[in-house]
Amino acid sequence: MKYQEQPLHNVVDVACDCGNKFQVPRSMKGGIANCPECRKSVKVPGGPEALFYVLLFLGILVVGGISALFFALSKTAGFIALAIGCLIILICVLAS
Amino acid sequence: MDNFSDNQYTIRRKILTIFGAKFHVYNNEGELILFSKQKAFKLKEDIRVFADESMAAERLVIKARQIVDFSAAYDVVDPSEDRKIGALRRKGWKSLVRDSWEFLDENDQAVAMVEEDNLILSLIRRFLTNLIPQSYHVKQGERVLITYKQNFNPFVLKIRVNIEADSRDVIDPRLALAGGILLAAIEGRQG
Repeated sequence: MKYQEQPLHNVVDVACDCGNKFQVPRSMKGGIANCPECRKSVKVPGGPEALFYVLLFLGILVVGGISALFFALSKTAGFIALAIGCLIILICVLAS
Repeated sequence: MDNFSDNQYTIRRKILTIFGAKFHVYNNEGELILFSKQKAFKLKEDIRVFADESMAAERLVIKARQIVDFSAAYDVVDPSEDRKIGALRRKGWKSLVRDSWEFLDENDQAVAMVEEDNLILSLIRRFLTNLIPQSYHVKQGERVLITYKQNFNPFVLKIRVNIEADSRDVIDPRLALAGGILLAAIEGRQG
Protein backbone atom coordinates (compact mmCIF):
# COMPACT_ATOMS: atom_id res chain seq x y z
CA MET A 1 0.00 0.00 0.00
CA LYS A 2 1.46 3.41 -0.91
CA TYR A 3 1.45 6.31 1.57
CA GLN A 4 -1.47 7.98 -0.17
CA GLU A 5 -3.63 4.86 0.20
CA GLN A 6 -3.16 4.63 3.96
CA PRO A 7 -6.14 5.56 6.20
CA LEU A 8 -5.67 9.08 7.66
CA HIS A 9 -5.18 7.90 11.26
CA ASN A 10 -2.48 5.53 10.07
CA VAL A 11 -0.11 8.14 8.69
CA VAL A 12 2.40 10.63 10.06
CA ASP A 13 3.01 14.05 8.51
CA VAL A 14 6.59 14.74 7.54
CA ALA A 15 8.09 18.09 6.54
CA CYS A 16 11.27 18.02 4.49
CA ASP A 17 13.92 20.78 4.50
CA CYS A 18 13.22 21.27 0.79
CA GLY A 19 9.75 22.55 1.73
CA ASN A 20 7.84 19.46 0.62
CA LYS A 21 5.29 17.97 2.98
CA PHE A 22 4.28 14.34 2.72
CA GLN A 23 2.83 11.47 4.71
CA VAL A 24 4.32 8.15 5.72
CA PRO A 25 2.80 5.08 7.42
CA ARG A 26 2.61 5.25 11.21
CA SER A 27 4.97 2.27 11.39
CA MET A 28 7.75 4.65 10.31
CA LYS A 29 7.24 6.91 13.35
CA GLY A 30 10.59 7.87 14.83
CA GLY A 31 12.40 6.53 11.77
CA ILE A 32 13.64 7.85 8.45
CA ALA A 33 11.83 8.36 5.15
CA ASN A 34 12.94 9.54 1.73
CA CYS A 35 11.35 12.76 0.55
CA PRO A 36 9.43 12.00 -2.68
CA GLU A 37 10.43 15.44 -4.01
CA CYS A 38 14.17 15.87 -3.34
CA ARG A 39 14.82 12.13 -2.64
CA LYS A 40 16.86 12.96 0.50
CA SER A 41 16.35 11.24 3.82
CA VAL A 42 14.16 13.01 6.38
CA LYS A 43 13.52 12.22 10.03
CA VAL A 44 9.96 11.09 10.71
CA PRO A 45 8.62 12.78 13.86
CA GLY A 46 7.73 10.60 16.80
CA GLY A 47 8.99 10.45 20.34
CA PRO A 48 9.62 7.41 22.46
CA GLU A 49 6.77 4.93 22.59
CA ALA A 50 4.59 4.29 25.63
CA LEU A 51 6.59 1.19 26.57
CA PHE A 52 9.63 3.40 27.20
CA TYR A 53 7.71 5.44 29.77
CA VAL A 54 6.40 2.24 31.40
CA LEU A 55 9.98 0.94 31.69
CA LEU A 56 11.19 4.29 33.00
CA PHE A 57 8.42 4.28 35.64
CA LEU A 58 9.34 0.70 36.64
CA GLY A 59 13.01 1.73 36.84
CA ILE A 60 12.14 4.61 39.17
CA LEU A 61 10.03 2.25 41.30
CA VAL A 62 12.88 -0.27 41.57
CA VAL A 63 15.43 2.44 42.45
CA GLY A 64 13.02 3.92 45.00
CA GLY A 65 12.34 0.50 46.54
CA ILE A 66 16.00 -0.49 46.79
CA SER A 67 16.95 2.93 48.19
CA ALA A 68 14.20 2.62 50.83
CA LEU A 69 15.64 -0.72 51.91
CA PHE A 70 19.09 0.82 52.26
CA PHE A 71 17.60 3.81 54.11
CA ALA A 72 16.23 1.36 56.64
CA LEU A 73 19.79 0.16 57.27
CA SER A 74 21.47 3.57 57.31
CA LYS A 75 20.78 7.02 55.91
CA THR A 76 24.15 7.24 54.14
CA ALA A 77 23.66 3.88 52.41
CA GLY A 78 20.19 5.00 51.32
CA PHE A 79 21.49 8.23 49.81
CA ILE A 80 24.31 6.36 48.02
CA ALA A 81 21.85 3.79 46.61
CA LEU A 82 19.50 6.58 45.51
CA ALA A 83 22.34 8.53 43.87
CA ILE A 84 23.63 5.44 42.02
CA GLY A 85 20.11 4.48 40.91
CA CYS A 86 19.34 8.00 39.66
CA LEU A 87 22.67 8.08 37.83
CA ILE A 88 21.92 4.76 36.09
CA ILE A 89 18.46 5.98 35.03
CA LEU A 90 19.92 9.30 33.83
CA ILE A 91 22.61 7.49 31.77
CA CYS A 92 19.96 5.20 30.24
CA VAL A 93 17.71 8.12 29.29
CA LEU A 94 20.59 10.23 27.92
CA ALA A 95 21.99 7.27 26.00
CA SER A 96 18.61 6.73 24.39
CA MET B 1 28.31 0.80 -4.75
CA ASP B 2 31.80 -0.15 -6.06
CA ASN B 3 32.69 -2.01 -2.90
CA PHE B 4 29.54 -4.09 -2.99
CA SER B 5 29.89 -5.86 -6.32
CA ASP B 6 30.84 -9.22 -4.76
CA ASN B 7 28.30 -11.89 -3.98
CA GLN B 8 30.10 -13.26 -0.94
CA TYR B 9 31.16 -11.43 2.20
CA THR B 10 32.30 -12.30 5.69
CA ILE B 11 31.14 -10.44 8.77
CA ARG B 12 33.36 -10.88 11.79
CA ARG B 13 32.31 -9.81 15.25
CA LYS B 14 34.79 -9.71 18.09
CA ILE B 15 33.23 -11.41 21.09
CA LEU B 16 35.91 -10.47 23.61
CA THR B 17 35.31 -6.74 23.42
CA ILE B 18 34.53 -5.54 26.96
CA PHE B 19 31.91 -2.92 26.07
CA GLY B 20 30.03 -2.83 22.80
CA ALA B 21 31.17 -4.81 19.79
CA LYS B 22 33.34 -4.42 16.73
CA PHE B 23 32.34 -5.66 13.30
CA HIS B 24 34.60 -6.17 10.30
CA VAL B 25 33.14 -6.90 6.89
CA TYR B 26 35.39 -8.46 4.27
CA ASN B 27 34.72 -9.02 0.59
CA ASN B 28 35.39 -12.27 -1.23
CA GLU B 29 39.07 -11.35 -1.68
CA GLY B 30 39.46 -10.85 2.06
CA GLU B 31 39.71 -7.06 1.86
CA LEU B 32 38.13 -5.03 4.63
CA ILE B 33 35.26 -3.07 3.13
CA LEU B 34 33.29 -2.06 6.21
CA PHE B 35 34.02 -1.53 9.88
CA SER B 36 31.67 -0.75 12.72
CA LYS B 37 31.95 -0.16 16.42
CA GLN B 38 28.70 -0.74 18.27
CA LYS B 39 28.42 1.37 21.39
CA ALA B 40 27.41 -0.30 24.63
CA PHE B 41 24.57 0.93 26.86
CA LYS B 42 22.63 2.49 24.01
CA LEU B 43 18.92 2.06 24.40
CA LYS B 44 18.21 3.28 20.90
CA GLU B 45 20.51 1.44 18.54
CA ASP B 46 22.48 3.70 16.19
CA ILE B 47 25.15 1.71 14.40
CA ARG B 48 27.58 3.68 12.24
CA VAL B 49 29.39 1.67 9.60
CA PHE B 50 32.64 3.03 8.17
CA ALA B 51 34.85 2.16 5.22
CA ASP B 52 37.71 1.09 7.51
CA GLU B 53 39.03 1.22 11.07
CA SER B 54 40.11 4.86 10.74
CA MET B 55 36.36 5.61 10.83
CA ALA B 56 36.88 8.57 8.50
CA ALA B 57 34.37 7.69 5.80
CA GLU B 58 30.89 6.75 6.92
CA ARG B 59 29.29 4.21 4.60
CA LEU B 60 26.06 3.17 6.33
CA VAL B 61 23.90 4.26 9.22
CA ILE B 62 21.64 1.69 10.89
CA LYS B 63 19.19 3.43 13.18
CA ALA B 64 16.45 1.99 15.37
CA ARG B 65 13.12 3.77 15.15
CA GLN B 66 12.16 3.18 18.72
CA ILE B 67 13.96 2.66 21.99
CA VAL B 68 12.68 -0.74 23.01
CA ASP B 69 13.81 -3.25 20.42
CA PHE B 70 11.35 -6.09 20.96
CA SER B 71 9.74 -5.64 17.55
CA ALA B 72 12.10 -2.95 16.45
CA ALA B 73 12.57 -1.63 12.96
CA TYR B 74 15.95 -0.35 11.81
CA ASP B 75 16.32 2.14 8.98
CA VAL B 76 19.41 1.84 6.82
CA VAL B 77 20.74 5.04 5.29
CA ASP B 78 23.62 5.64 2.90
CA PRO B 79 25.09 8.92 4.19
CA SER B 80 27.02 9.57 0.98
CA GLU B 81 23.72 9.84 -0.89
CA ASP B 82 21.76 11.02 2.19
CA ARG B 83 19.17 8.48 1.22
CA LYS B 84 17.40 5.64 2.97
CA ILE B 85 18.08 2.32 1.26
CA GLY B 86 15.49 0.31 3.15
CA ALA B 87 14.84 -1.09 6.59
CA LEU B 88 14.81 -4.28 8.61
CA ARG B 89 12.09 -5.17 11.08
CA ARG B 90 12.46 -7.81 13.76
CA LYS B 91 9.39 -9.90 14.38
CA GLY B 92 9.45 -9.87 18.17
CA TRP B 93 6.99 -12.61 19.12
CA LYS B 94 8.08 -14.99 16.39
CA SER B 95 11.73 -14.41 17.28
CA LEU B 96 11.14 -15.77 20.77
CA VAL B 97 11.37 -19.26 19.34
CA ARG B 98 12.93 -18.65 15.95
CA ASP B 99 14.67 -15.45 14.76
CA SER B 100 12.49 -13.76 12.15
CA TRP B 101 13.06 -10.49 10.38
CA GLU B 102 11.61 -8.67 7.40
CA PHE B 103 13.44 -6.70 4.76
CA LEU B 104 11.50 -3.52 3.96
CA ASP B 105 11.90 -1.27 0.96
CA GLU B 106 12.24 2.49 1.30
CA ASN B 107 8.43 2.79 1.43
CA ASP B 108 8.26 0.35 4.34
CA GLN B 109 6.80 -2.47 2.29
CA ALA B 110 8.04 -5.97 3.12
CA VAL B 111 10.06 -7.39 0.23
CA ALA B 112 11.58 -10.48 1.84
CA MET B 113 11.56 -12.56 5.00
CA VAL B 114 14.56 -13.63 7.06
CA GLU B 115 14.22 -16.76 9.12
CA GLU B 116 16.50 -18.90 11.23
CA ASP B 117 17.25 -22.16 9.43
CA ASN B 118 15.47 -24.74 11.55
CA LEU B 119 12.89 -24.59 14.36
CA ILE B 120 14.33 -27.49 16.35
CA LEU B 121 17.88 -26.17 16.10
CA SER B 122 16.71 -22.68 17.07
CA LEU B 123 15.04 -24.12 20.20
CA ILE B 124 18.21 -26.08 21.07
CA ARG B 125 20.24 -22.87 20.64
CA ARG B 126 17.93 -21.01 22.99
CA PHE B 127 17.44 -23.56 25.72
CA LEU B 128 20.46 -25.89 25.61
CA THR B 129 23.56 -24.50 23.93
CA ASN B 130 24.43 -21.55 21.74
CA LEU B 131 27.40 -23.40 20.25
CA ILE B 132 25.38 -24.59 17.27
CA PRO B 133 26.11 -22.14 14.44
CA GLN B 134 23.12 -20.21 13.14
CA SER B 135 22.00 -19.93 9.55
CA TYR B 136 19.45 -17.58 8.09
CA HIS B 137 17.74 -17.61 4.74
CA VAL B 138 16.32 -14.47 3.18
CA LYS B 139 13.39 -15.52 1.04
CA GLN B 140 10.89 -13.93 -1.26
CA GLY B 141 8.24 -16.59 -1.37
CA GLU B 142 10.22 -19.77 -1.96
CA ARG B 143 13.05 -17.98 -3.74
CA VAL B 144 16.22 -17.73 -1.64
CA LEU B 145 17.86 -14.32 -2.07
CA ILE B 146 20.54 -14.27 0.61
CA THR B 147 22.03 -16.77 3.04
CA TYR B 148 23.73 -15.84 6.31
CA LYS B 149 25.74 -18.75 7.64
CA GLN B 150 27.59 -18.62 10.93
CA ASN B 151 30.88 -20.52 11.24
CA PHE B 152 31.57 -22.57 14.32
CA ASN B 153 33.95 -20.56 16.48
CA PRO B 154 33.20 -19.91 20.18
CA PHE B 155 35.50 -16.84 20.32
CA VAL B 156 34.84 -14.99 17.06
CA LEU B 157 31.41 -14.72 15.50
CA LYS B 158 31.85 -15.12 11.76
CA ILE B 159 28.93 -14.89 9.39
CA ARG B 160 29.31 -15.78 5.75
CA VAL B 161 26.96 -13.74 3.57
CA ASN B 162 26.01 -15.21 0.22
CA ILE B 163 24.01 -12.94 -2.06
CA GLU B 164 22.37 -14.70 -5.00
CA ALA B 165 23.36 -13.02 -8.24
CA ASP B 166 19.78 -12.40 -9.36
CA SER B 167 18.64 -10.98 -6.00
CA ARG B 168 20.21 -7.54 -6.39
CA ASP B 169 17.08 -6.17 -8.03
CA VAL B 170 15.10 -7.07 -4.87
CA ILE B 171 17.58 -6.29 -2.09
CA ASP B 172 20.39 -3.76 -2.30
CA PRO B 173 23.68 -5.45 -1.25
CA ARG B 174 24.25 -2.63 1.26
CA LEU B 175 20.96 -3.55 2.91
CA ALA B 176 21.98 -7.21 2.83
CA LEU B 177 25.20 -6.38 4.70
CA ALA B 178 23.36 -4.12 7.13
CA GLY B 179 21.08 -7.10 7.78
CA GLY B 180 24.08 -9.30 8.48
CA ILE B 181 25.56 -6.74 10.89
CA LEU B 182 22.20 -6.44 12.66
CA LEU B 183 21.85 -10.21 12.97
CA ALA B 184 25.34 -10.34 14.47
CA ALA B 185 24.64 -7.39 16.77
CA ILE B 186 21.08 -8.05 17.89
CA GLU B 187 20.65 -11.80 17.64
CA GLY B 188 24.25 -12.28 18.76
CA ARG B 189 23.16 -11.04 22.20
CA GLN B 190 21.05 -14.06 22.97
CA GLY B 191 24.14 -16.20 23.35
